[in-house]
Amino acid sequence: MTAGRVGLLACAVLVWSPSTGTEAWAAHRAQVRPIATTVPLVMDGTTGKDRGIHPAGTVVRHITFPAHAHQGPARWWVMRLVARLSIRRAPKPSLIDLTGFTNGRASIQVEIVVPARGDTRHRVHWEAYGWLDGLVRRTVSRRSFVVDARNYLQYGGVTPGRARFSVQVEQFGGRAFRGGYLSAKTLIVGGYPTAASMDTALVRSQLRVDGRTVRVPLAFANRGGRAAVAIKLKASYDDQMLKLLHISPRFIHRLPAGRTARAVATFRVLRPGRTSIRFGESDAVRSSGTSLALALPRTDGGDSSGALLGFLPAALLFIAGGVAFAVSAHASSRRLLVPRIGLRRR
Amino acid sequence: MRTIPLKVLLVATFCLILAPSAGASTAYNLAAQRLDSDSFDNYDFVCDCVSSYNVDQPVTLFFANNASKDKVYSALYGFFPYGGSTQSGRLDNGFGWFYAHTGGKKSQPSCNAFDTHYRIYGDPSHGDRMWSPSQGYYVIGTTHLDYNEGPCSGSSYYGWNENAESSVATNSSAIGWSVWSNLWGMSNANSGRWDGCCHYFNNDANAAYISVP
Repeated sequence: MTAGRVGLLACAVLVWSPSTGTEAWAAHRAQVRPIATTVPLVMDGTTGKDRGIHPAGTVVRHITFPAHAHQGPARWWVMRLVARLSIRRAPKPSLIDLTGFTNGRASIQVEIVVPARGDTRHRVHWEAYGWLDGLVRRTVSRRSFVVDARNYLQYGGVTPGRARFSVQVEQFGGRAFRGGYLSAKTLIVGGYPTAASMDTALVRSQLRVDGRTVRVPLAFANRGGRAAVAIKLKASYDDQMLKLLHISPRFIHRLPAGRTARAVATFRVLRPGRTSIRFGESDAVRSSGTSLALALPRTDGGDSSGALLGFLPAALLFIAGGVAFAVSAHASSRRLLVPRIGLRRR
Repeated sequence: MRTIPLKVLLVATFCLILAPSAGASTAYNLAAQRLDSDSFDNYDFVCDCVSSYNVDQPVTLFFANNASKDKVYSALYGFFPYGGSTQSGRLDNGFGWFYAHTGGKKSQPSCNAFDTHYRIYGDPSHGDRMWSPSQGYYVIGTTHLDYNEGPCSGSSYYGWNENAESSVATNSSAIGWSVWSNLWGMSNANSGRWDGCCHYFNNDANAAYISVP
């Protein structure tokens, strides 16, 4: 591992590790604090024209991004939205949407589902979805609870200099929202997006190569500072020589920090010769990947050309049989027709 | 003689495999649409059975920025309070294709009159919404009109997708959402054609783009 990589990892752990808390976020240079203290969240206005919509309450602050700031691989900007909400069940079911924006572009959308009063089958819950943590769903048993979610800003949500930060509360259906406040922990931070660092390694002792298939066991270790989510395993290979049959499992939903997962990739050998395979994970995860050089032995008739050669005689036999059948049928039909024609002539 | 039942069985099996699902229509331009690392099909289907012969309606709506299925249905509930039959949308969130199911929402069905029916699809495992860095929280939708629906005498018809798209777009605009009609290319144009007895496809290739605040 290079020194630069170690630096990036340290930066990633510093920025992303939830265990380090607000102090770690604050320690990072590229951050924007939209509010200094807690800000109340209120509903403005009255019920809207019997359409079940209650006007939104919005907190607006102006923030300043660094010069040349933009959303992209050089620095990914993320919003963390922390709010305490107070709700009560209404006669009708209610949907409360809490959204954090920059420049009017939604970054975090939290949906709070409040069942109707007297509905004992369903519980109050909130769920947020983002590319960092996937779906976060929490069941709520108290009237007052904290919502803490984060996600990337949209491309259009990052502009150099002055920008607009806003948090909006909307309510649909019943009037369940009682109030709340936006926590000063809410912040926007720019950093390297890697949530985890995956080290991919071959389990060479279990590598199996025969004339027909190649079976490659892999181990994935999360060396990062926090859990990796939604890991999709990928393989790059020469499709003239190999055909990927399957990677099992192909998708790892969550891998906590410091843990290892295993997978097996199975290929069919198409041609003998020397080739290489590269394994890695989806772009969402920082990964070193790994490569494997292989000498593929001559196949035992299991490759595609062998299969074709085996198939050709059978196909030719089938066509010949069909032709023979057609000829015999034609001949028999002529035998039946000729006498009749002969009779007519007479 | 013994082979005749076998032949019948084979033919029947082929017919069963090739036959479109009940109520399905045919699309001549079914295609996946790409958005950042996501994809979605430009029609929805009558079952979890992607095929040009199993489509229901073309995608004509794109709700972006701060949308979710529940939010759109809730916000437009005053205009479209009734439910409809469940169909399947097909999307890919970058980790593989999946089906989303919804009955959609519609205006009041009545005899000898049209009602508007729309369906919204998002990722059901992520709260019925998708997210992309260029469009934020987004969902896609199909639209159509139903004619003479319910316990009515006479035949029922459906389709007229462009008219239904306009109806949803107009009502979205009425609640303060920003609407750009016919902005988002979906490559699914149908310039007025009947499919079977009762389905009239009619839509341009551009979906209404609705930015949800």
